[in-house]
Amino acid sequence: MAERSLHDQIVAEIPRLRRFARSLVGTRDRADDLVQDALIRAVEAIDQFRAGTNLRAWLFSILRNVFIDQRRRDARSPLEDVDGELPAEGWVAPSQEQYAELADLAAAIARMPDGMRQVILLCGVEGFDYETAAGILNIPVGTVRSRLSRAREMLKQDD
Amino acid sequence: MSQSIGTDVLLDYLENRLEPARRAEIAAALQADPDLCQRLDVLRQQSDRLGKLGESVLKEPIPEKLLAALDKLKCR
Repeated sequence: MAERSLHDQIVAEIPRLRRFARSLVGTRDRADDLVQDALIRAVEAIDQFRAGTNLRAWLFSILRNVFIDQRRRDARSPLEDVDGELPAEGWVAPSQEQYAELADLAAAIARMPDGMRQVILLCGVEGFDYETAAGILNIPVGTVRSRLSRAREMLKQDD
Repeated sequence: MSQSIGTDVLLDYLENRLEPARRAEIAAALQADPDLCQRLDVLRQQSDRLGKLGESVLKEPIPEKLLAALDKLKCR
């Protein structure tokens, strides 16, 4: 089996990066700008990627760092300036089965504090294990675990 | 008993992160306690829905500008 080039492997991760970005910043255009900046940074830093390690986690961690840098620069909450546009644009398609439940869930996640939201996005939506999520967010595994269970309890109350 | 089993442990059970002995303990507690069972069920449904969030984004075509950002890598 021919091994896919690094280029193609990164292309294959773009859809997931776009999903994560959209849940972070709300609108499609801003999310794609964020992904674009993250990809540019990844290309610049490509020599730091070690073959055989988790490419998806590496890209997510770059995207999350770019997001934090932008927020610092903008000095505003990305969630505040999209006035009532949450849940994230296009994150749940009306054609999707269980649309109402999923839209409620997306809205509840959008209302969470940043730290909790990122943990539930990484573990609950993207399926990263606790260790990998902790690496991406640069926080201890125990913090991932406790934030995630608090987030899950919060969602339960919203039901 | 069931109140002392936290959401974190129920998630560990659901996602197969427990050692066999601890797993058996939780399984026994679940059998004995319908409320605990109910809590597990709510979490299971939540997990199922969480996994479906943003599915539509995954199916969108990738914008050209994002592919262009990777052009420099093409020969690698």
